[in-house]
Amino acid sequence: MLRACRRLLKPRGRLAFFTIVAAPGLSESEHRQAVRLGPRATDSTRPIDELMGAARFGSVDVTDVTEDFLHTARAWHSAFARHEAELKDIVGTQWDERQTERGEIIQAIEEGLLRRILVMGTTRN
Amino acid sequence: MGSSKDEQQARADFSQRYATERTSVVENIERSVIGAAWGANGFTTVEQAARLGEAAGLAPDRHLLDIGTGQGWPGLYLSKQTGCRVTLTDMPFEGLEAALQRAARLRLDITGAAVASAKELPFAPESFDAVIHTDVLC
Repeated sequence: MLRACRRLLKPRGRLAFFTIVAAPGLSESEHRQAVRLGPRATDSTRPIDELMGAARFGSVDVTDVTEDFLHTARAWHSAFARHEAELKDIVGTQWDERQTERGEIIQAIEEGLLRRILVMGTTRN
Repeated sequence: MGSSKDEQQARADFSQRYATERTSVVENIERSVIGAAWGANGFTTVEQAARLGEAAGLAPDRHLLDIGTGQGWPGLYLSKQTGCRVTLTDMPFEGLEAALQRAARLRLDITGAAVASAKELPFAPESFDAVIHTDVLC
């Protein structure tokens, strides 16, 4: 996907994205657990700056925003819990599925398995 | 290009969400969590959208591509804030339809929208000044 973005950008164009990743330095079983629990966690074990370089992006900058990620995940979970009855009228049994999924994400962040990062890069001439 | 059963299920789920869930309750929850009601259902807050726009160097003369935009978050929001032109892509049609309706209401400079996978984007090389995405399924 990084190469697809690279192809579409003009020279000196900018790519910026948030992504959820498995934390670095996990054991093999922890990594598998992170990939399973993460909503869209990459199963790649290569660092993102390496992947950006391979796609010929320069001036790569990576910022960890995991603290905000945890805050937002908890906020969704709490808000859905507060409005359970109203939301069940709208989404039915999906309410339970989404709350379970969010609970697992929160647990995975708290256990240090998942991170969210902001990645920026510029196409080289 | 084929897609996994999980990806197909995720698209079906999102299609249903986009088609049925724009109610005042959902919008109020979104405001409390994200900081605005633009049809967001992920983890990108208003503050983080602003960081994304700054990192992408958005301005009125810039053309932005937002991949996996859902209902237009944050691409439409950033177009409104910065004046940039924006093109949107995602797989569920229902989300893009809602985004186009919002863009029309807000008179935003939306250049196009395409139902497309992030892996197979139907645009010519060097079409955009900036590309963004947020936790996109690809």
